[in-house]
Amino acid sequence: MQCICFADEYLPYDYSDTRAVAIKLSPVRDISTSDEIYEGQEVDFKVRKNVYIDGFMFLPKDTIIKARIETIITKGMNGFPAELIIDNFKIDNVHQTQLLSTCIKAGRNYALLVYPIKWLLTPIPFVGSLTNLIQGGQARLKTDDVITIYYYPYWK
Amino acid sequence: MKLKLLLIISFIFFNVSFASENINVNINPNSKANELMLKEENTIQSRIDKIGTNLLNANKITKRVVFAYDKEDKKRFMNIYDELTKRQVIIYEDLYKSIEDDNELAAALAREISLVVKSYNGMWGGRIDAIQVGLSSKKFEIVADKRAVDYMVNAGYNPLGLITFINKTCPQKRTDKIARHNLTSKRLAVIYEYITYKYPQYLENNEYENNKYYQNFLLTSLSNRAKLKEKLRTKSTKAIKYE
Repeated sequence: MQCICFADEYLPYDYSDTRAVAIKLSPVRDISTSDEIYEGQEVDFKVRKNVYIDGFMFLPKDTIIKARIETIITKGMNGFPAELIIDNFKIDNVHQTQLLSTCIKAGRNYALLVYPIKWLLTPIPFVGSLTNLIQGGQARLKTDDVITIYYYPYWK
Repeated sequence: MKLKLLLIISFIFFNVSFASENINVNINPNSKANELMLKEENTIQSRIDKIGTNLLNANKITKRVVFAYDKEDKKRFMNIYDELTKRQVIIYEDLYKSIEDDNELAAALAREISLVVKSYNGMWGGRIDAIQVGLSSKKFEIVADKRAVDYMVNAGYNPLGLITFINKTCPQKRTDKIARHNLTSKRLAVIYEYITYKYPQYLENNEYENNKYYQNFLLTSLSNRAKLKEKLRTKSTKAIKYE
């Protein structure tokens, strides 16, 4: 029996292929939420080692790749860590739809420390609330940190 | 004996058939109304599914998220949303009534999707982060708004729809000093600033220029926009204290 599939529109993507190329990157300079950075800022990454596709060199080591700081989440009370979301990596001849590249870097999360102390101290009036003042860590991407993004060459 | 049995069976059979006919006659108008209501709900659900899935696919979100339409907003315990526990985005009727175009629906969905995505990351498979998001709703309100802008742009929706959507649906409280939510005017100003810096093309070729809700936002955000203008003029990177 013939199967009739109804497609109501032409899709600009096709995620059927599972072949992916891992690209390991490190920031050229330290990126930290404690520094003066802003959302939309371009940051540079460099390729950690040569990347090959089907035996051919695709990206040589130390190639600079530009990315964008998408969102900055500042650290907060109750051990809430700062967070950096970096995406929009720009690689020559690679379309954005072919990359799985969202990089999320969070600082130290002190929730597991803060909440038990808070609940233990709650019977003593106001003391439990003091733990609100404990803040989470800053998000930091150092030059020796490695992040991995994935390139799907057969995606549209 | 056989005759009696036959009579009893025929009595039951006819009675049941009469009864069912009577019921049919009685509930017919209701069932038609129900059918119409179901059809209407199906149309809404399909629209939500379509736009929600557009957002997921265009943003290459590799986590599972489902969408639902519900008539009634249930009271939530400690602000731990279904988004964080079931990874389900629910659009309630009250909210849906205020949605005019696809951009606004995408705005409503994109905000919640960002919460769901957050619940997948972090310690203990995202459980700790989900609790923190639930408890620090004020902080994450702003983050969700910003992520929603990104998701909308990536999926081809106009992020100014988020401004008109929030402008219509979120009331303005007196203060947010000791509150779980930010002042709506503050949220709108932050979104406007975010679009100004990251996606200025939407303000340059503004499709919402003749939208009365957008113009209302412009009118009610004069002082906040003046602060942003000053920030742009001085090229400052400091965060603005919006009102």
